[in-house]
Amino acid sequence: MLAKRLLWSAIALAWLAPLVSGISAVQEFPAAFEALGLDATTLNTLLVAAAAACTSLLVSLGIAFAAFELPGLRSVLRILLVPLLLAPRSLTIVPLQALVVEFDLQGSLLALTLCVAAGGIPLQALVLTEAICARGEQWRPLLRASGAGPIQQAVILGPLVEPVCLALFLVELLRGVNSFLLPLLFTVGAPELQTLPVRAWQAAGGAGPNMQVAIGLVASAPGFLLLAATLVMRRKVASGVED
Amino acid sequence: MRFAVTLALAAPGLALVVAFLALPLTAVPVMALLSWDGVGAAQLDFGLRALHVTAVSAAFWAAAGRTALYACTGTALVVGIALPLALATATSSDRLVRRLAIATLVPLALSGVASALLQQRALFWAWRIIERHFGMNPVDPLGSPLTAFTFILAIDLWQSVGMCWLLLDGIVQRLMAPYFDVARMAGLAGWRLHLKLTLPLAANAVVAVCILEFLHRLAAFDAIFVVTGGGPFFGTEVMSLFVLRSVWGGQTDGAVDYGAGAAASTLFMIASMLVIAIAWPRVRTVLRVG
Repeated sequence: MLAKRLLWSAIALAWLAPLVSGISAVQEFPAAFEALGLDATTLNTLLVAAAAACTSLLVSLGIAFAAFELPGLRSVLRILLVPLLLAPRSLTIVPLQALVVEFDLQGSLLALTLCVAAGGIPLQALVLTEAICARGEQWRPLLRASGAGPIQQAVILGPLVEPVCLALFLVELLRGVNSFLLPLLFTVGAPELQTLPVRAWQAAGGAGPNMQVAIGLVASAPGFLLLAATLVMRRKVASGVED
Repeated sequence: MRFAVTLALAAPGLALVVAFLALPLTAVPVMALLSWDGVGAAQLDFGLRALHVTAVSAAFWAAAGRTALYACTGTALVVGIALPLALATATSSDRLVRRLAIATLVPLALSGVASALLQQRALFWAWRIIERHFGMNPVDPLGSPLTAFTFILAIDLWQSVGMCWLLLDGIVQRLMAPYFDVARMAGLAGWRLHLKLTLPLAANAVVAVCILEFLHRLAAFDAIFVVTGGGPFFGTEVMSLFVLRSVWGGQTDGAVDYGAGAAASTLFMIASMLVIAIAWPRVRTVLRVG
C-alpha cells in the first residue's frame, strides 16, 4: 500500500512540478502583471468567455427543447452536429480569417464572442438534447395532456437539467477563457481588445525564461479560479456530468 | 403556431452553427476552387490550379506526414499512460490514490499558451540535467527538429493525460461495475483481472477514445505555435501552421493568398473526413457507454 501511495505521489509531483517551479520566478510577477495589462485583458477575456458561454448555453437549450418537441429533429441534429464536433477546428481558419479581414471585423469583440459561442454549440446541443429527452420522456404524456406549449415545457423541464447546464457552462467558460486561435485572428491588431492568452503569447516573445514562467502563471489565474469554482460546486457538477 | 414557436427556439442556435461553423467549412473547397485572394483584389480564377499546386507540393506532404506522426505518437503516448492510470484508479479502494490522480487534471485549467510557457522551462531544466549527466556539449534543444518535436509531445502529454484518464476511468468503472464482485469471488485481482476481464470488455471503448484523441491532435496548434512556431526548418510544422503559412507565408507585400490556404485546408478536410467516416461506428460505441 505504501509503495503504491509513494508511486502515485511521485506521479502527482511530476505533474505539478512545472507549476511549483514557477515559485522561483516570483520576483518577475510585477513585471508580468504589467506586461499582461491585467485589468483590460482580464476584462476582455472574462467578457468574451462569459458572454460566449451564456450565448451557447441558451441557444443550445433552445435547440434541445425544440428537439424534445420534434423527435425528428433529434436525428437531424446528430447528422449535422456530430461531424462539426469531430472536424478539426483549424479547417475554418482560412474562411474565418477572410471574414475578419474582408468585413473589417478586426477588434470586434461581438464577432469574436459569437464565433467562440458557435464552437461550443455542437457539444452542448447534443448533450442537452440527450439529457432533456432522457429526463423529460416520463413527463411527455402529462405535458401533451395539459396542452403545454414548447415554452411552458421548457419552464417545466428546465430545472431537471440544471446540473447538466452548470457542468456545460463551466466547461464552456474554461474553453472560452483558454481559447487562443480565434482571439488571435480577431484581436492581434487591436492590443486594447486582446484576451489573456493572446497577450501572454505576445509578451512572452523575447522574454527571459523566468519572465515566461511568470507570464504563464499569471495568465493561468482565471483558469485556476474556474477550476476552484468547479471544485467548490463539485457535487452538483458531478451529478451533471453523470447525467 | 406550436411548430413555429418550436422552430423559433432552435433557430438562433442553428443560425450560429451555420454562420460560424457549417458555412466556413463549406466555403473552404469553394475558396480553393476560386483561388480567391480577397474581396478588394477580386481575382477569381476558377479551376483546380490551387488544389493542384498544393497537391504536388512537397511542403504540404511533409506537413501532412508530421501531423500524422504527431497525432499517432501523441495518441499512443497519452492513451499508453492514461490507460494504466485508469485501470489502477478504477479498481483501487484507496481514496488517496484517486486524489493524487486528480493532479493530472490541473493542466486542464491552463490555456495552451500558458501550458507551453510553463512546461517549456521545466523541459529545458530536464534537458540541461541530461546534458550534464551524459557530458554532452550544451545545445539548444529547440534548434533540432527531433528534440523540438519531443518537447511539443511532452507539453501535449502534460496537458492531455488528465482528460484521457478521466474518460477511461469513467468507462472502466461503468463497464466493470457489474463484474467486480464476481471477479473478486473468482480470485481475479490486479493485472490478471485487467488482462482477462477489463481490457476485453473495454477494448471497443478504448479504441474509440484513441480515435477521439487522434482527431483532437489533428487540429493541434496552440503549444506548437508558441514553442517552435513550426521551426526549426519547418521541422515541427503541422497542418494548422502550414495552412496559416500558405495564406501569409508566400507573400512579401502583405497580401494574402486565401486560395493556397483553402486548398491545403480542403485536402486536409478530405483526409479528416475519411478518418471520421472510419471512426464513426467506434465513436458511437463510446457515446453509448457514456
